[in-house]
Amino acid sequence: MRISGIQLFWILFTFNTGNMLLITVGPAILEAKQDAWISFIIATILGSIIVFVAAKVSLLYPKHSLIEFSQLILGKWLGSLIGIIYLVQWFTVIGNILIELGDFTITVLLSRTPNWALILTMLLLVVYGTYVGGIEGIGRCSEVFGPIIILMLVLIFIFIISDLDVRNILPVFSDSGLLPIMKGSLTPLSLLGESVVITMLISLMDEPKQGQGRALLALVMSSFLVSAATVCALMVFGPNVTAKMRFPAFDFIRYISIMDFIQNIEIIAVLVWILSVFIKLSVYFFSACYGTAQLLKVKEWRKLIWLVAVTSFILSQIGENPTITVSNYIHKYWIPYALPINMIGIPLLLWIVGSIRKRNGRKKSPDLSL
Amino acid sequence: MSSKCIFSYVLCLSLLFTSGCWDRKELSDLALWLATGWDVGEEDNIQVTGQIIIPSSMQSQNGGGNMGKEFFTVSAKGGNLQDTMQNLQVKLSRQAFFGQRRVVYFGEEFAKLGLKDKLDANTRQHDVSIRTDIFVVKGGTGKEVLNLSYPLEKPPAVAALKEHKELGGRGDTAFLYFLIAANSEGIRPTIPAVEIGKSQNGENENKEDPSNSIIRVAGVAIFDHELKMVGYLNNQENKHLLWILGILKNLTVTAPIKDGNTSILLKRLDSKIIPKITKNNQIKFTVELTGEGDLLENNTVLDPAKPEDLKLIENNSEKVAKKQVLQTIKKVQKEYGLDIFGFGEVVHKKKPQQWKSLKTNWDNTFAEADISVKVNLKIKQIGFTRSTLLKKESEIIK
Repeated sequence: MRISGIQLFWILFTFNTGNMLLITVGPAILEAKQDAWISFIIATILGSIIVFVAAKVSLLYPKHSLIEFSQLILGKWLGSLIGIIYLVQWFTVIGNILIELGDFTITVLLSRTPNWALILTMLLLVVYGTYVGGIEGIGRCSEVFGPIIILMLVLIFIFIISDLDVRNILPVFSDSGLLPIMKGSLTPLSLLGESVVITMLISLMDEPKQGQGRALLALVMSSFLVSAATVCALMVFGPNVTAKMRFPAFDFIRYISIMDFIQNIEIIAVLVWILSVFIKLSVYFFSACYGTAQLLKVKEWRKLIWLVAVTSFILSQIGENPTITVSNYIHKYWIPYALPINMIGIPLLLWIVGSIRKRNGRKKSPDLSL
Repeated sequence: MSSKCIFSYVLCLSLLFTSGCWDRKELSDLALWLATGWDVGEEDNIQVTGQIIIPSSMQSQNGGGNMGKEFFTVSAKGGNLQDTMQNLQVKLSRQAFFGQRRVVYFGEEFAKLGLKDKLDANTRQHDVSIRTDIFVVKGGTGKEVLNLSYPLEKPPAVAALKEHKELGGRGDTAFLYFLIAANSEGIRPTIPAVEIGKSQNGENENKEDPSNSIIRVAGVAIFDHELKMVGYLNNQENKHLLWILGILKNLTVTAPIKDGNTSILLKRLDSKIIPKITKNNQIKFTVELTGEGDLLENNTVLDPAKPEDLKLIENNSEKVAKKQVLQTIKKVQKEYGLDIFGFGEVVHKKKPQQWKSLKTNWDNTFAEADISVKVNLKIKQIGFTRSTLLKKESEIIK
């Protein structure tokens, strides 16, 4: 079960793009108005630092995953605690992405389909993909999906050109100011920061050393495409109208009409999103199974698939109103806790403590460095 | 191996027959809703009228003298759109489907009462598109317009949209422009207007012949910041408005000159507004309008193949266009005092710091602003003839 550098790139690219397009464009514009693209640039820079740190940590112990090396660095109990903190994030985020999937699909496409039918279908697909292919299967899937996503987005950008009006994103900086722009970058950053999941993936690579570069490239590429989509939405609808939309990136795709002939191509956006969400769910699903197995010292991680599947299905059915549940999750857990702790704090701590221990260890006896 | 292989093929094949979904809607279960008319009902009610295709008549190709109607209209009253739709569904055997809705009409009375708290459903539902043309019906109701038929277009509601596009107006982006303006401080919204008129001028005009009644585009309706309609501009003034907004697609400028007149069809139009704020907070605007196009008519002895004559025609047309545009701006400043041209947005974009203090009282500032117009027209094509063929050479030499 190994993935190549290219596969890691496509996994992370696909992993980031779809959900960024759907749920970060709106909040960023709500805060930063027409300067949302600056928010995205800031988020990209900070996100790159997160990825850089995460990759550095993983490369300290290139043969061990996050769950294992956190125990190696901080000792058994503290390390296990950190493992649990991440597993909580992964278990709950699967449930939440499933809620989002149901909500979005019902809103835009299948208004009379029950929620559980959509969620169960997707979950079964994820279970199947993970069970049969493991991380290698996910990697190969993203090698196919990633280029499709890029192609579709480029097509969409070409189609929308005739509707763009540059005047809509002026004046730069004076309507918002620094604080709103920083606030606007929080949501994109909290999604880009999800790339810390590479701490699980790098140990599974052929050549872990490639991980850092590929992950950074994937992050920059996907946030470039999402920023482009944000600018398009702003240029089509203007900042005030866009700020009130829930899915601006989706709305501008719906608005495309070329000579009254190419119309209603929003289904392309849905396709891009579903492909991307499938990869995202699979990566988290795999990490949750694999991580739990390592934490509980279960040899065959596949045995835990059913546990994770049932838990995430139950989690996806809990909330009363999907919009409120997801928004609560993002604003009460994801941004205030997951972002500073899981994405920034712990990797930084592990990196510092890990490098110190390694240096000290090397002085005493080189064999101890694993 | 092979049995497993066959089994998986059978599984794949079965997908073809077992797939399906909850949201299957057969075309024969849908009423294709083409256009909506919004009118005042009783008290604070609204009345919604819909024009719906009759599918069997759309399919028949042997139209000709057959006067079978290709659409029918239904209407109902209610508190808001969805309430009305519920009341309307009792008259419809099929579920109303809005995916094909292209045009929305507002009755004049309805527009005067204000649109602010009424139109939300037009953007919330997933089957309606923001890409919609909207009109105010001058001196009439949406219901009347939707009951008219139009000889050239089978679903007649689309006629106004097509007329609108032919005229070089906003077309199906009208609703978006309205929404953007309604959400901005520096521009007041406008909605194109239509009226019910006769297809022929002159003696036929008075005849009570319904087949002679058609929809015609009638300029533009002006709204204040409460989204209540306050008045109209006529077709020509509407073109000037669109030119200043930078969204006009074509314009014919006819100018009298010497012994006749000339017409230029401008196809590439653009505008640029330059704000200037003097020390005592007086605002000056210069509107620079440009246009490129073809000489379509030249009823004079001037020879457009000669550079000096061509220049003469251009300059003369510029002068006429400038005078007309300035007149329109003055009229809006004086009669309505509402910045429908978006001068405020220009200040907002070019001088964002000053705008913060200016925006609170913008309509008054606009009404007193000093606005000048510069027009620059270029003729690219002159056609097949030089000077007109109808005048003698002796006249040309003069």
